[in-house]
Amino acid sequence: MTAKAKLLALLAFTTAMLFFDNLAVFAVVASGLTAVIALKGHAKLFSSWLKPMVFMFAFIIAIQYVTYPLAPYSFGAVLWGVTISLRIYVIMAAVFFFVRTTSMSRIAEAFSFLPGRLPEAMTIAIAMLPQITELSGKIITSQKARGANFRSLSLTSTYMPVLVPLFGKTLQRSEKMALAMQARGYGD
Amino acid sequence: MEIKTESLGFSYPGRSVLKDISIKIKSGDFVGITGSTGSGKTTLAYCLNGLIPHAIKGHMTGSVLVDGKDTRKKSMSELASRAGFVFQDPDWQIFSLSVHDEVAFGLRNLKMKNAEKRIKNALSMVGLDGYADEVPYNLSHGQKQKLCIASVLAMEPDAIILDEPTSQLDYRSMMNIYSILRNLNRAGKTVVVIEHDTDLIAEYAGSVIVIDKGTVVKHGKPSEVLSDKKLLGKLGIKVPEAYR
Repeated sequence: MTAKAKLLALLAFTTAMLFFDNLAVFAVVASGLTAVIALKGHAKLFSSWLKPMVFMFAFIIAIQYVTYPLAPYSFGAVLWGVTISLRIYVIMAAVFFFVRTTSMSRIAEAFSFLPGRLPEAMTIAIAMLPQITELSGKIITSQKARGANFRSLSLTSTYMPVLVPLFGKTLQRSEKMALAMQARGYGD
Repeated sequence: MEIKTESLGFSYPGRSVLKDISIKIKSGDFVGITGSTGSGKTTLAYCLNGLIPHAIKGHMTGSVLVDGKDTRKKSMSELASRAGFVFQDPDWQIFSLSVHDEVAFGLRNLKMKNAEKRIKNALSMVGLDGYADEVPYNLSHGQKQKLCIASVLAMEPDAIILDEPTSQLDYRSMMNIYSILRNLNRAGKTVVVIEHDTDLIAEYAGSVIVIDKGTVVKHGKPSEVLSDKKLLGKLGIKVPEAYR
């Protein structure tokens, strides 16, 4: 299957999932996708993707429990919250499966239908992802070494020491990359 | 290819970096440019291949002549094919998803013919044969630096300018890069390298330019320049082992 076909399939699947609101369908699809991911040996990585989402799923269910228009504070409201959470879960699982089974260069190729310089921009963005991940890892480690507590949810003490240097370095890097591209005749 | 600067000056908005620099780099030279941090070495290198004034904002005075022609009057792509530039950190330069595509980038921009042959030759010159399909991100730092050199060499420039190419490398990779540069120089290419390590300049360069506070304080053969212990000591530059 070509990367472009995979991308179109992913888009079709995601669109279809947005139109369904049946808990049973989501449960079956979620189980199937989870089983495939586990069989492919990606269970551990997928669980690390899911970890930050657990809080969000719990939040969605809590919000639906209170605001569900048909019957708030009922079991039905909880089921509706679970349905919405499962919808997000299956879309996430599908995106994860696409990313894990397609190389970066094939993903970039899949965007070749975009007009103008957009495919090039997509390639650069995708190529920079591992560098940004590595950079954020280094920043987190160095802030931990200075006693930063990443369990706290405080914006100023937890996220700012990571986001400020990360944005700064990323902007600096993109400026230098633009310069390096111009030095090789790009943009004339 | 000859590169000449005449009373070259450059200021970034609100900060003067280069003042009245007049140097001449002859075709086939191997020139080392050294100086303390912030002395203006990198800015001078940007001027030599036309990134200044074409891609970097600021006020440039005087002129840079490449083979007698003012860089202001040439386009960036014309200059890119004459004087290639290798940046200090390869991660600033590499963005493609395969080694092949990275080397092909400049060729595509300049619409050069025989791209595949050029890519193969360039990779072979830096010892990266067989790496064409690799993802650049998986290469070691030394290999990434070699890839950056290859991506410039593929455009077959007459001169190659390198900004501290070995600053993040171990000793073996450092020697490896310099032996590639020596081979290129022997093949007729002009090599200009910004370098903090005066031992490397003493060993490989044919002439040295010492810069301090944006001006050239000494220009000559390594044996004349790098043996001036008083000057180097004053500027905080290490006296190479060979001249101690």
